[in-house]
Amino acid sequence: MDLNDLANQIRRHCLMMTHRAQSPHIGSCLSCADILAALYGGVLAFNPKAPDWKERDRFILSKGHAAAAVYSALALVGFYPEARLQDYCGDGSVFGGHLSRVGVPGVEVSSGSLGHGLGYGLGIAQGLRISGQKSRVFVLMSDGECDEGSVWEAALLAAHLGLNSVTAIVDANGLQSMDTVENTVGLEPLGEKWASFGWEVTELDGHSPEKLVEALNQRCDRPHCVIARTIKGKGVSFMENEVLWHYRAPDENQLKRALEGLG
Amino acid sequence: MKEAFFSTLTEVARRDSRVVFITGDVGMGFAKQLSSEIGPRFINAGVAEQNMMAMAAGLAQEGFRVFVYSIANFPVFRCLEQFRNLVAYPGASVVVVSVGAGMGYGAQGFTHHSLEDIAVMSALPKVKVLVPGSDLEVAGCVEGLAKLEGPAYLRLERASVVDFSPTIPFKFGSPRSLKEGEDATVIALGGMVPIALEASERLEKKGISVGVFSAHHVHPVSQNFVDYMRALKGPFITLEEHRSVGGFGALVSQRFACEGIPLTGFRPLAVDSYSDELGSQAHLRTHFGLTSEAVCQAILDLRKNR
Repeated sequence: MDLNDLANQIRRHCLMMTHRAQSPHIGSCLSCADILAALYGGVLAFNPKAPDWKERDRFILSKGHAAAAVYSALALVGFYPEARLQDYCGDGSVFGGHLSRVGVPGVEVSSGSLGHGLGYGLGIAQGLRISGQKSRVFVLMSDGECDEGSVWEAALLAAHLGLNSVTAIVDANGLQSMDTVENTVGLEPLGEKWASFGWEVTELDGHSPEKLVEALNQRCDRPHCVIARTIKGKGVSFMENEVLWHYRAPDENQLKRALEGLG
Repeated sequence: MKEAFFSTLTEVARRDSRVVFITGDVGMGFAKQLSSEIGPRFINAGVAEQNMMAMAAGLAQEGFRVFVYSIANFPVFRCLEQFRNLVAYPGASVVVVSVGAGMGYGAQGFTHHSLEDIAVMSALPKVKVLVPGSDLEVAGCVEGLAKLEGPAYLRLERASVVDFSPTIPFKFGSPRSLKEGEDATVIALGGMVPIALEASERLEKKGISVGVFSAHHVHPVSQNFVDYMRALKGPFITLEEHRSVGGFGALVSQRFACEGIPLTGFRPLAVDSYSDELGSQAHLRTHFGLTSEAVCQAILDLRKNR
């Protein structure tokens, strides 16, 4: 599938899922759709028929509230039928509002509390190093998540241990739960912060799957931080850069307008 | 118990390449041999417990049996959410090792005391809580844990505790009977075991025979333990250097209540009050009533009230 089509399909599923479940975080899902399309369409080594294949690359969604986007991507690349996504947030479902590993092939670790994923990725990377495996480790975080001290604990140690199999991706959409990132706890200059912690840093347009694929496939001699500059709610005009869509779920009419807008 | 822990873990790690050790920058001296032998399987994560615990979980995902090591409450409270979400709930093979049980760091103050750890760890799913009562039992616990999958918490005394009777075999998961007694029983945890034995000796001089167990396997309270206790005659006491709320005594009484075992002859001895008292571990134990005298008195009271 073309990367833009894949991203578009992820967005469509996320809109339908959050509408059906009347569940939050659609803005966060839309902002990382192109990043997930790049990862699953052009970067990660994986095998939907053998989710635990040893030589797979490990992908960790640390911003666990964008679970719908990952469930969608996994369905679209063949881990399970797309029809199963209708179960999102349902009673007895395996597809929780925050990413759940149990019963969902392709998910490495359950997440939802911010600031846990990078350290977990470091553990995997160190484990791969001990075992002499060449797999890579990708951790997708949000910019608001960088408020967590544990992110910076992990950033320090990754560079110290020279864990160059680790790539951290920051979905920098500039909005968090209540306000803009800069009005909440200013993070900029974010790239300089990661660089000063000893990471290779690439900043790019987080809505260009081609550029993302190129950056994410880059092998560095240090851990790599890709700061993807994104728009929260990307692809749905009335959701873009609107903080309300962190929590709001689309109603029937909004869903219709959103899907039409996506084409 | 540090020496016993490190010497056993070094032996275990030598023969089992799945064993990984992560320290939060503590264990100097004792950890040297281990670090020189296991290369990248020895990690000093620095003074950053949250990252240390998350890393441990990631290593466990890759098939390693991870031992995380730090002092008192640091590997429990500072990284509790990482432990809960990444280790306990998913059932990851991570053993959290805390040295300095209870008030082992005495005059260093309450920031270095560990009096709520059993309550917290027992409340989380899938976690085995182990409190060895001597250096010999530490070795048995480490050997046993290395063979198991899943999360565990190992609570160690800061000081070495010589075993009362090394000829008594240690069986992982079963309470260890150190001394038999007809009139009353004390089930002690960790560094309280020698105090229980001391109380037993004192009462022996008065013609009262008191049995002593080292529980070591605290949570979940095993069926084995329940069966032992059900067969007891006379009053019994649990003895622990931990707060009474959520401690071993509380766990035992809850389990006994569910099993229909009468609690009339039972008294949990633990830290029942709060105080800013400062001093050595021995001084603080006396201050909080964790002494052989207090154990004797509790037994005499229970016998009088029967």
